[in-house]
Amino acid sequence: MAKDNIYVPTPAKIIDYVIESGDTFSIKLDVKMEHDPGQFVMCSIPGIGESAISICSFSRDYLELNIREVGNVTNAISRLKKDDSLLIRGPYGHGYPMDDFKDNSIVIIGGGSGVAPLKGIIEYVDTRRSDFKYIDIFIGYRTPEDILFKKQLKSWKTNHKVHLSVDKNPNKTKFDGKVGFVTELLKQSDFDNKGRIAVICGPPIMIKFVVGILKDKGFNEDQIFVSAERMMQCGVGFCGHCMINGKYCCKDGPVFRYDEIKDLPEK
Amino acid sequence: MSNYVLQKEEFSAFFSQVSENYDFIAPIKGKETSFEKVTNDDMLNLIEWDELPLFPIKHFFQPKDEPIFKYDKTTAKDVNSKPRKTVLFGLRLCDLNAIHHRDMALMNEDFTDPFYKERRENSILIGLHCKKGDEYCFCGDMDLHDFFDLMLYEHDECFIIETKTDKGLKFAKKITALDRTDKAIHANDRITENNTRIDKEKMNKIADFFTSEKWEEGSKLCLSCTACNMLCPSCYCFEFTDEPELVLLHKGQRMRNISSCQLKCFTRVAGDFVFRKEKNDRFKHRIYHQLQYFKEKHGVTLCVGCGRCIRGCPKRIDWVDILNKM
Repeated sequence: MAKDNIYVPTPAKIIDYVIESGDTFSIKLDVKMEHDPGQFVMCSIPGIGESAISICSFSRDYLELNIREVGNVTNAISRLKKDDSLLIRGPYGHGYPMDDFKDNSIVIIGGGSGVAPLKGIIEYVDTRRSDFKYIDIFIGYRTPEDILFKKQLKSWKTNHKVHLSVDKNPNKTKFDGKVGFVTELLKQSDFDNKGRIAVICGPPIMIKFVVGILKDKGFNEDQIFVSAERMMQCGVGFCGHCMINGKYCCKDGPVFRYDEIKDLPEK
Repeated sequence: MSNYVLQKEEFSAFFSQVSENYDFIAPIKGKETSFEKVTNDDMLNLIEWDELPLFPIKHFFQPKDEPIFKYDKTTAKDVNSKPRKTVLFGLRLCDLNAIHHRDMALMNEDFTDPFYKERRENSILIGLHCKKGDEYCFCGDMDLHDFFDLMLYEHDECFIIETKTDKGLKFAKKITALDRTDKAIHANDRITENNTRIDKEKMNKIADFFTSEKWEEGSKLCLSCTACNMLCPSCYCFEFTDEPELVLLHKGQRMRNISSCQLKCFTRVAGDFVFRKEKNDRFKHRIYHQLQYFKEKHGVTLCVGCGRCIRGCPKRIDWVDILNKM
């Protein structure tokens, strides 16, 4: 009897390849996979290894991944071209509980590569716009050259309120946003917690400050959702690498309601 | 369920009947005692009946290295695995409970480890009642329970065998060296001496000690050698590595290797960020996973109190002692 080997990935063909910035690119895969925004897939390049990559799209027809070249696997994926294949398995983890967000306004706060999984939320909302109220998008990057999803940004601006900032602009590049930390933009905006959910994805230091600002604005901890990042190997809660004080980032997360993890010393 | 009896002089007959259909694994004395496949009658004399083997049984369920699939350029193919029917003999209650905990960890309602499941389904667990612990044992503190297919209790010239599962009963019925008996297992038979040493109150409050500096008494001695993880019957963490063929580099297999939370690379992500950089954090993580985190998820501690992590530690770091002094 053949066993059900959950570790065996299946080939996925690249149908589009977009360079987003100096070290970041997006690939669209010819894969039909039911998933929630915020879930991830394990991507393999045989002989190199496997990496967890968050899904940055929301479509039943394809899967889009936004990848930064930081390690062996992501470097190897960056060398692939349109029509090449890689191996994937998933989707894994708990994404954003979109059903629970229904009839609320959503504040989306992302930094750098952390914008990728949040793009999935925006695309989800756009497929059922009437289910949600206002969408405020706060995104920050290091420099204008690092801005991701430039193509999508236009339509986001048409449909939602977008606040874009870059930490610095050394090359004096023209861009439609402000120079400064994204946390400043968030601080200046005037909304409260009534009927609102906040979702955050970005570097840990940004998450820390953003949570503080949101609390000042009256948000309760159960209205804030954060996405965590850890080393992941199996994706199914066995291998132990992604454990944060007993919570498996891959299986219990990567999206956590803030009150679920706020007391974990290793968060 | 019914009890059986095995005369000690019949043990060789028992072994030969079992080994007709099963691999027979038992604790075999060597430089250190470890679980080995018994291949002939002579090896029966090397079975360790009294002391806890230093090495645990876990490698039979989760080998140090094993292929999980074969790849060729951009295809991946499952490996053919046909686990042999295996009798694991001479397991102490600590080892048996560690298997139970591994079942909880690796076979849950969401996911099942396919390799582990196959091996578990093909194995029969035969326990051997442990009469006395040594200075490192604390299984008596750990709420272990009867988890086995068969359990042997030594009586003068024979073993009285308790059957616990249908699988065990079916097995016992087939082996003619085992006879049905009306003899019962008495409370006295179940006693294990000298098997408590952890302060249970402290153990149950371990979450309160997370920031205690006392842990450093242990971690400053720690060599990060990973012996504690390797000898632990419960530790199950692993990692994947790709192993290309030497000539055809595009072909190869993905291996699953046993892994250790005591190593810095355990939490290292691309970009060289390490989440548990300090040795003290890694030292604590193992203990907290064993005593707190696993219990939060599964209701029991992952630790079974066998004491191997202390017995086999080259620096004899006694974390139980550190906890007791909190």
